[in-house]
Amino acid sequence: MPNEPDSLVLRNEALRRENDELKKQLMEARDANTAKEVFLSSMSHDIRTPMNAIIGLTALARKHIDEKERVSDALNKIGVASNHLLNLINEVLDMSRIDSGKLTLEEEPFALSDLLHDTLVIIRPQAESKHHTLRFGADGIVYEGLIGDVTRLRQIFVNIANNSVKYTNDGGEIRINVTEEPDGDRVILVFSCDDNGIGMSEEFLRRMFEPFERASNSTQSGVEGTGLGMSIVRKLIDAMNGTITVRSAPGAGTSVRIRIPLRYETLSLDTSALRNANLLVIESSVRRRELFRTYLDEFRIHFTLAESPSDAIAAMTDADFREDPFTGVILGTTGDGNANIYDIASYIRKSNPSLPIVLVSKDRWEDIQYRANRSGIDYFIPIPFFRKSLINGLNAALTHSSEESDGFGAAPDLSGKRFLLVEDNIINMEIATELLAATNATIDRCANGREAVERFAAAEPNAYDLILMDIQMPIMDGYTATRAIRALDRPDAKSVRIFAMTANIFAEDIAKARAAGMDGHIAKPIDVTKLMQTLRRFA
Amino acid sequence: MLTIDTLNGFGANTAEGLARCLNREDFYFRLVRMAAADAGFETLKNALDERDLDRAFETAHALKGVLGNLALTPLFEPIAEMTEHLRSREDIDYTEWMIPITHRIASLRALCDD
Repeated sequence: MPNEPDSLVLRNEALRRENDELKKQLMEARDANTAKEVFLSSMSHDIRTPMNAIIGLTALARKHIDEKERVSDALNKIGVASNHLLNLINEVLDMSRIDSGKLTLEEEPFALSDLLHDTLVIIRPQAESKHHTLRFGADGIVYEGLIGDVTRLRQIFVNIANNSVKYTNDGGEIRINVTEEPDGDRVILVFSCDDNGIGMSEEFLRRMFEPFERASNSTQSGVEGTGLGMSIVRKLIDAMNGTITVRSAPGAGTSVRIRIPLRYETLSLDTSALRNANLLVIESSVRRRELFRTYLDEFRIHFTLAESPSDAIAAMTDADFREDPFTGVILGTTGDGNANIYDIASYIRKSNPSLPIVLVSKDRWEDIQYRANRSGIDYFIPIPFFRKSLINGLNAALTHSSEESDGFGAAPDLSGKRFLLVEDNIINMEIATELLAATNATIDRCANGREAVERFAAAEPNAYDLILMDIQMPIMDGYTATRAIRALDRPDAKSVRIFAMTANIFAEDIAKARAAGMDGHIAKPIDVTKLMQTLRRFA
Repeated sequence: MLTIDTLNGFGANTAEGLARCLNREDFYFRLVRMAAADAGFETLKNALDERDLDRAFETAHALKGVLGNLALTPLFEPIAEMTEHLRSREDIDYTEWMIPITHRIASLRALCDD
């Protein structure tokens, strides 16, 4: 019987191969199962940690219910823990959605500056808690208006940067850089993140994008995470037709480079208020001077560059002599640290009380605000800055200033108008009352936010032309009171003008006021001229 | 005795303070007296002695606003600096600010008493 033994051999061979394949699949299934069990164990720990924090902080808040600051602090921390928990849950759901093919990417316009600022805001606190040096640069950005899924892009950037923070020992260095490469009708957004952290082995690099893989187990190392972050990042980048390359070695840090093609659009910025501006830019960094020159030339804003404080003083003297004085100052780095910045700002402020001074700095505004304000600095633009943040900052500074130069200093006659003044401090209340009374308007006064809400709710519709609201008050603060007024079911609840009276003028505080429903702010200590300008314009 | 000259000698920026009071000296002096008599200075000291940083921050923040509006600079500056540290509830020694504050409020009260 010919071939019978051969066919048996072939059949045996095929069966052996099939058996080997099944064994291999069984091993892979067991490995996957083990990885999932480890993941579930890690995840349950990572979920329990913020849950325990929420439960503990809630109990603390209840125990100290009459202590406003303590309750507020506990609630802030509950917010942080809640967001962290939500992020964990979202990552797990993300994986599930991506794996089942249900991921949809948005195609919406966004500003690159907003994406990078948001990324920095999210990662900075943890980087600072580990005393890392975080360097952030964005050079050669031409296309600031991009089109894509900004939420997912932020998720990618934050994930990469957070890993650098987590896997770098205390006091490390993390460098993030963003550049663009033109590519026909698109632009390639290049995001790089380099750290001097613990690095990864060759072996882990090969599987780092697989789900549930982690360099170390969080329950042992204390490093939290789901093991899904890099897998999600990889899938999102693939969905965006981008690429990610990672170089790393144990003890030698890690470099990640992401390239994502995006469509772009022209950013629309209103520079009409800057048409007649004449700016003095004080900046010792060659690179940043060129950036200022590029942006200001692009928008045809007239400027003079000074490399040092002494050059700046010479330029100011010269401008005054030519009877072409500067209408604003941009104060960058002066080469001698912050001390010199405040000295030059103070000097400028003394010689010209109304000249707007805009500080451009990599420092956090909260850390420097007191000294900056005392030195005469009016506005702040964080580094890295782009066209949008520069133009918006200049608009805010020079527009506010031009209102003062209308020559208006006396109180306007606002007879027939009615204001609601909300202030808890008696002396501040007396000052504000006298200033407002000089306009002949009727002033109603409340000592806290709750009284203000009740007074407004009890008044006839459109009774008030303007509400001036202090922020920090007992019983109910200004933000809460504003939200409560805006939520009232009456036609003027949304339309009545509410102005914050606050010492904080940084964008975040102004954003808080706007988010609460306020229409603007009046700085404290009260500037009488600016107050009268605001009343004339808005009352 | 409380006059523009004595307040200038104290270190206040009376031009700035008066401007906020519509250049009315009587009004300005009345508010300066109220600020000098403010029990907040004692409350601040007690809160720091008891390491109640929440109460210390609230008190310092309130004093800062008033002293800034009245341009009582020798008191405003140390209070403002303290407020920023207290905002973060920093558990540090606040003596370097409280010593000048205590001396200066005593000087201001002496001016107001005469």
